[in-house]
This record gives sequence, structure tokens and C-alpha cells, in this order.
Amino acid sequence: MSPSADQSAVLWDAETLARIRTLQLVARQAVDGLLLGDHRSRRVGASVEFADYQTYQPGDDLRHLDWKVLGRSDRLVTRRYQLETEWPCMIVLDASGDLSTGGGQGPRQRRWLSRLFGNEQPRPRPELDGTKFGFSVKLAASLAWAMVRRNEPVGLCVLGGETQGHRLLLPKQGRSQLARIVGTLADLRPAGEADLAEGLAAVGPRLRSRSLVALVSDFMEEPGDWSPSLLALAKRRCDLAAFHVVDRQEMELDFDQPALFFSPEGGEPLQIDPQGAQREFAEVRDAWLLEVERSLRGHRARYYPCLIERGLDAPLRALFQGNPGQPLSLERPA
Amino acid sequence: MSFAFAAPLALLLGALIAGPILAHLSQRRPEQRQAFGAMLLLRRLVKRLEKRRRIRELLLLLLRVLAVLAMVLAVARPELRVPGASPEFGGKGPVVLVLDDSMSMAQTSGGRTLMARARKDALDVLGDLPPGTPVGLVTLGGRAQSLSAEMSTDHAQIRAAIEATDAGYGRTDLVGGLHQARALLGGLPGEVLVFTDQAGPGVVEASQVEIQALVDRGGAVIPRVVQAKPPVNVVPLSATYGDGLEGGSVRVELANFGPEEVEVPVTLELPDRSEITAFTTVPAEGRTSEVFTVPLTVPGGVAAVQVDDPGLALDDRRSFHLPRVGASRVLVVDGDPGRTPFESEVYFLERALAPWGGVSGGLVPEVVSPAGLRRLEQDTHQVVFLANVEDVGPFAGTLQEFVQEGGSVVISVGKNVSAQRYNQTLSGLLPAPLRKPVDLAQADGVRLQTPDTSLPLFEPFARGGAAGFTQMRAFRVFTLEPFQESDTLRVLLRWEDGNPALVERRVGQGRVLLWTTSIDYDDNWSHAAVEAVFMPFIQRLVRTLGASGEGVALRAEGFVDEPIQLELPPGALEPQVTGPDGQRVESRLQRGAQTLLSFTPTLPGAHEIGQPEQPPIAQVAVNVAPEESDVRVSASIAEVERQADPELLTRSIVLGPWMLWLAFAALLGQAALSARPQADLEDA
Repeated sequence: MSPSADQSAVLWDAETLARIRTLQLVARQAVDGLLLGDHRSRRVGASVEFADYQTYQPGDDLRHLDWKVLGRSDRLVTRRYQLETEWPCMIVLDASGDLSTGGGQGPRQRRWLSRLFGNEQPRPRPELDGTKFGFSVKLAASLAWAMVRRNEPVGLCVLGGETQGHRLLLPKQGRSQLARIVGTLADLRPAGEADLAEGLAAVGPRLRSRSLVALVSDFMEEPGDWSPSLLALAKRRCDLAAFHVVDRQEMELDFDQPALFFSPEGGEPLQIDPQGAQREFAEVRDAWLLEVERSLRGHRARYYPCLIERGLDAPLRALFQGNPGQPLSLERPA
Repeated sequence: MSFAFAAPLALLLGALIAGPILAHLSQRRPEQRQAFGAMLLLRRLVKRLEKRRRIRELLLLLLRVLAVLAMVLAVARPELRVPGASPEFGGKGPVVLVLDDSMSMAQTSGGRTLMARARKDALDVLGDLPPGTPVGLVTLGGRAQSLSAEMSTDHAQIRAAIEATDAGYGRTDLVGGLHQARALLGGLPGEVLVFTDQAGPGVVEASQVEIQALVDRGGAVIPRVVQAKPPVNVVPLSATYGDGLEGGSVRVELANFGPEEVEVPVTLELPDRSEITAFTTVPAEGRTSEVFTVPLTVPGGVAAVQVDDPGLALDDRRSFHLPRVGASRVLVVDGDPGRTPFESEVYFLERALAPWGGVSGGLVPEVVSPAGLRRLEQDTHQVVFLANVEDVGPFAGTLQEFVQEGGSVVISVGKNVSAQRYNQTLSGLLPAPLRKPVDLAQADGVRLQTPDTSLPLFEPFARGGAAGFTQMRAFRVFTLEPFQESDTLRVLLRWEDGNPALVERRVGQGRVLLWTTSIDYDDNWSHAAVEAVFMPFIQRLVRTLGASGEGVALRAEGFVDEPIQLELPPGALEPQVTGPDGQRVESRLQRGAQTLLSFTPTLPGAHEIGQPEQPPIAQVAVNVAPEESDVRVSASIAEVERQADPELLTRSIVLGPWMLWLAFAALLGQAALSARPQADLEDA
């Protein structure tokens, strides 16, 4: 696949192109093994529209045998249905500034030096590995790859962030759509605020009924602000799958020295001694995690907590196997 | 109370307080900045910990300021002067040891008496004194006395005197003891150590003047208090004879000065040594009473009430006078019972003898018909009233013998009495032969003359009431054959017309009195029975005739260690005082217009006064002072002394070392608080 063929309006730089290749590779590796043997289960029986009759062959499912025809004509025939192949998927990606943090965040930019010499450089993109943003981008690319592999329409909605690409790509089939999505993801820089409430409210009306909405976010906004917007998706009978991207270091406040903690999205920094606040922070964190999960499940969403160190496989497998998801556990594997 | 600094300029170092304050205000903020994607959680955390953080920082500030302040104060060497401190024994200069050997010091606590503890304390103090220290010794039980004529440096002699001291029955004479101590010091300053239990209401308060006097001379009164914890004492406060079933009752009032309710056995010991025991519960710090029923017959004398009290044994017995009971019965022979009780010849006499129908004063009238005279017994009856009895001939011999043996007969006449028959049958008893009765009704009766109150029979009426006899009228009286008054025959009362109204004749050891008219209310004979003076007259009459309850003629009460003075009857010859232990008690007799005997008992119990081998002419019930039984502490000597001179008893407390410890503790506290892991969050 050559993404640049459909992206003539966008000129990717070398770094972006490299990330596109990386994303394609990562997505293919994550999805190919996952979808083996999955086609039949998603296609057969997905529709109720009648197509024609077919002479019964040994091995056909007896549930499809037409007993009325057998009674009238003494012939064994089975009813065949028109398969519904479209399961449009909209990937809603949180690209706010908070996503740039995590264990593998990029080198600190010395802004005072840049300002002093007048050669302020664009902010580097976070690494694809070890950062919340990198995990989110890879997860979005993998979802898009999987949907294209299943010949399903797939789209992308970016909340926050900076990109030269599209902020909203409505679901379409085909590899060209995949190229647009991957290119946008590769070019994306985390910045600003996501404003989940507004983003979900805006994208909801543009979705087809019974669409799959894959929301990838760290949900670092008050649940009371964004949970009402989930109602718009529920009204359209959308199937919401929420991927909650979390970083262990942040969830455990695992820092050695007292520091001024600040949000990349802005706001007043806070001076804390992480070692002294561990116990109280854990209480606050657990309460917040429970609040997020309850808000999502309360709107019939499937909740997939994604600890970035555990990779893409678990959340993707849970999604495509119809697993409702499990609460986040920060316990380290033995 | 005052507060001073030995080095006030050191307070300038207080400026150092600015140090921790500045440090607190300029807390260094960390230089490191950390991008953090979960600031939502931190902001929630900040809200949660904000209050705790502020308290912790305020506490840190206070601890640091306190540490600096305490160090500054330590350098300034503050000194706290507290007035009203307890006086302390210095052991310098002359020392007077005042030993309380009053009764309350006999309390037992922990297997030892308070006196034993006080002795040991006094001996310890004496042993610690430097050789050559002038020492005096005073005891204050009963009447305070100095056991050393003057201040002595012979500690061995003082030691021997202390060891010989023991608690007695006397009350606490703290005032006298301090006075003796002051006299020993001779106006010089010195220390007076008082070894006491401070028991007794008002004892300590009364000594304020003496304490003031000692303090004014530069001395100090140092209490060395020995106390039973808690003080326990049950004591019989009083015993009173009164009405009741059988021979009457004795009401005993008991007091418990201890903090707990106790049940004690109470024993009533009668003069004939017989005993009645009951168990009584006495409430904590309260009183109760127990009533004993007295047998029908009990000789008069000094009785006693005894309780069994483990706390203080010396006051467990209380003596009191018990009148003669039972043998004082009066036999009333009704010669004209009438159809109803109101028409009885002795209706008014009976009520005059026993106004409340009981046995008050031990008087028990027994009313019988003339035939009942056969029940007359010398051991039971003392007085016989023959009221308008028609014929006493069958019993004349009995009556004669009764009087000869010491009984008394009072004869009153009436319509049933025949002068001739009486003169024949009772010639050996009548003061004089009877004549026919004289009718005075037409002259509105005849009144009694005012009695001679010098006679023992009318002695109580000397204060008043003698004129009441003149209201007693008779309308018909028996006259007597002329007779010559003598030592054995005399007229006690006369009518206005000069005829005898009441004549007394001594027969053998007894007496016969003749009332020359009716003793009943009878319009034909007399209205005397309804006059106000009738009842006290009859009461006095039977008592004079020996039917009263008094065991002896003279009774008195007193306290141990207090002088008792008695007025003896004229003619008493060198009487002796015998104590309850049978030993003779030293006494003094003063003869003059009155014969006065005075003595000071040293033991509680019955004291008898009289000639050896003779019935006593007086009995004295001696007890311990009731206030000494109150073993509770009512006031403190130290407190009284503080009131006398607050400045003298001032204790200085040097606070410097305490300030250093306080600074050290504050520093430790702030260090521990600083080192403690905590959620240190602060809005930047």
C-alpha cells in the first residue's frame, strides 16, 4: 500500500513517512493473527434478508431447512440470506496534550533556549513505544487495519492534537481510506485539550445507525462532563467500545523526587512529594477509575482498560471476540 | 504568685523566633518540573489533603517557634514563685515536736494506730536533727501539756518521752498545744512540727490565732499529717430512756464517720450487767438510731451502750443514766369503782400518775379493787393508794408490814370511809385518829394554804406553781384528833381553816400520808382533782415516796479530762470518787454554804461517789467528747498558716531546666513531623 498516492494534498516529511511505515507494520502484526478464522463468525447470520433457495447438501445447517417447501413438494431445500457486510467503524482518538506523557515521553524541549536564539523548533512527536500517545496511535491504526481487512467502512475523528491531515474522516471502505487514516495518525502531535463532550456530541449525528465507535482516550476529563454526550451515541444504537489508555507510572505516581507537576494542556502546576502522597493518591485513583468505568458501562459501552506496557493484543482480542472487558488491574505479572 | 527573670536581657534573643517563621514563609520549592498527564487526579488529591497539610504546617511552625522561645526562656532563667505552698521542715534552729495523743489518734490503719505512726515519724525527725539542736516536746490530747520544762538538747530524754506517749481519751487541744510550743520557744523563731491527724470539727480553725502568733515571731508550723485512709469510726452518740413496751425503751443514736455503710453489733448493758444485743446498719457519713426494749424490772443506775467498731475502739462505749424500772409500780386501790370508768374514785388519780397511759419515768400504776390488796408485794410495789376504801381490815397487817419494810401508803377518804372503822383497823398506820367529816359546802368549800416549798415534797414548786394549790377546794373533810408534830409526824399541807389536809407519818422504813378529803372529783367532797396543779403534785408525791425511777438521789454527766463539780447533800462525810476500773479518783471537797465535790475523770464509764461499803450518793456517767469521735479531717493546718502569711510560705520553682527540656521536646517533635512521609501538596 502506498499512502502517498491518496494523500497528494498532504506532503509528509521523512519522519512522518517513517512513522507511517512503522504503523502499518505494527497494525498488520497486531491484527493478522487476531483475525484468523474470524471472518465466518462475523459474516454468517449477520442479516435477515432472504435471497433464494438452494438444494440441501449434506453438511448444511438444518436450521436453514425450509420445512414448508418440504411439506408441499417433498423436496429438501435450504433458505439462503443476503449477507450484510457493512459494520461501519468510527475511531475517535483523543490527541490532547496529556497523551504526550507516559514512560517514554520525548526529550524535554528547552524553550528558553529556543526563544533566546529565535529558532524555535516544532515540538517532537512522542515515541510510539512507551507513551500513551504512541499506544493510542498504534491502537487506532490497528483498528483501522482490522476493519479494512474485514472490508468494513472505517473512519477517524481526532479530538485535540495538531496535524496537517484530516481531523474527521467519515467511514469508508478500502485501502485508500486506510492510507488516509494511517497518514493522519502518523502526522499527529498531541496538543491542547480533547474536550470529549464536544467531540462525541459532534461526531454522533454523523454516524450511521448501529456503527461501532472506538473511543481511544485517557479520559482525563471529569466524567460528569463527557458522560452525557455518550447518550447521543446510544440513541443511534452505536456500539461504543472505550479504550482507556493508562500509564503505570502515572497511575502509581511513581516518581522519586518532589517536583512541580504540570499538565501539558496548561493550568497551574502542583508541587508534590510523590513518596508522601502514594497512599492518598491510590485512593483518589481507584475512585476515579471506578467512576470512569461506571459512566461508560452505564451507557452500554464496552470498557477496555489499556495499560500500555501490556501491548495491543489484549484490548483488540477482547473487542473482536465480543468480550465486555475487565476492570483495570495494576498488578504486575508474577 | 509572681514571675521573675534572673537574666531579663536574654529575652532579646527572642528575636530568633523570626528564624523559623522566615523559614516557614520561604519554603524552598523544588526546581524539577514534571509533565504529568493525570493532573485531574492530582487536583482531586489536593482538595482532599489541603486541610491536613495546613494543620501540619501550622503545627510545624508552632513547634519551631516553641523550641526557640523555650531556649530563650531557658537562657533568661525564669523563676516561678508560688505562694501558699506547704511549709517544709528545714531542721535548722530550735524545734518543738507537738504530738497529738488525742483519742482519734487511736484509729487503726494498716495494722497500726495513727499514734504509732506519729511516734515513729517524730522519732525519725528527732534522729535526723543535728546534735545540739534545742528540742521541746508537747502533747495536746485532752489538755495540752509540755513534756519538757524547757528546750533541751538532750535528745535521748526527748526520745524516751516520745516513746512513752500513747493516745488517750482526751479531745484535741491544738490551741493549747501550739500555745505550749510558743511558750517553749520563748518568743524566738523556731519550727513547730505538729504530728496530728487534723481530725475533729473546728479543731484546726480554732488554732488560727496561735498559728498567727507563731508566724509573727518568725516561726513556722509544719504539719506532719498521719491519717487513716479512709478514716473509719462508728460511735454511739447518745442513749435516751423513754416510753415503750414492757419497761420502756432506750433509743440509741449511732453515727458513722466513715465513707462506707457498715453493720455493727450494738449492745445495751443495763445497770444489773444484763445485756441486749442488736445489729444495726449505719449509713456512710450518716446517723441512725436503734431502739431497745427494756425489761419490766431493771434497777436504776448507769447503763452503757457498746458498739463493735474496728476503726477506733476508745469511743465505742457510751454511758448514760437509766432510771429504776418496774419496781416503782404504784398500786391504786379503788374503793368506789362506780358504774363507768368515769365514775371511778381513781379516774383522775390514774391519769395524774400516768398522763399518757405509759410508763414515762418508770411509773406503772396498777389499779385494783380492795380485794386486789392481796397482790401487794414488797418487791413489786412501792406506793399504795387507798382511795375511799370502805374496809381494809383484812389487809391491815399486810399494809403494816409493807410500810415497815419501806413502802408508802397514801390514804384518801370519801363517803365509804368510816372514821370508827379506820381508827380501829389502821391505828398503826394513821397519822392521827379520824374524826367525823366536816361539811363545808355552805361556805363554798375551803381552799388549801400555799405549801411550804422548803419541804422536799414541794421543792419543785418553788420556781412557780405553789399558788396553784390555793385553787384546790374541798367541801367535806375529815378532821383529826389533836396530835403533836414531831420528826415522824408532821402536817405537809393545811386547809385555809387550819385543819390538816395532808399529814405524813413515818412508820418503820416507810411512810403513811393521809389526804383528809376525797382524791376524786366529787361535788360533795372536793374539786381538787381537776385543778392544774393536781397532776404535778401527784407525780412529785410518788417520787418523793420513792416510787420514782431514780436509782440514786444525785446524777450527773461529764467528759473525760474535763473537771466535774457536784453539789452534795449537806452532811456528806468525805465522799470518795470511784472510777469504772474500781480505782479511787482524786477529788477535792469544798465545804461552805454548799458542799462541792470536784474531780477530773481520766476514764469513761460510771463513776460512783459515796462512802466505802455504802450505797453511792451520786453517780456520774463519764464519756469521751463526741466531737473527738468525728475522725474526718475538717481543715488543714497548712491552709490556716497560708492564710496567716501567704508570703512566708512561698515556693520558688526554677523553670530554666524545664524550658530546656521543652525546647528539646519541641525540636524532636518538629523533626519527627518533618521526617514523617506525608502528602506534601501545595498549589504552586
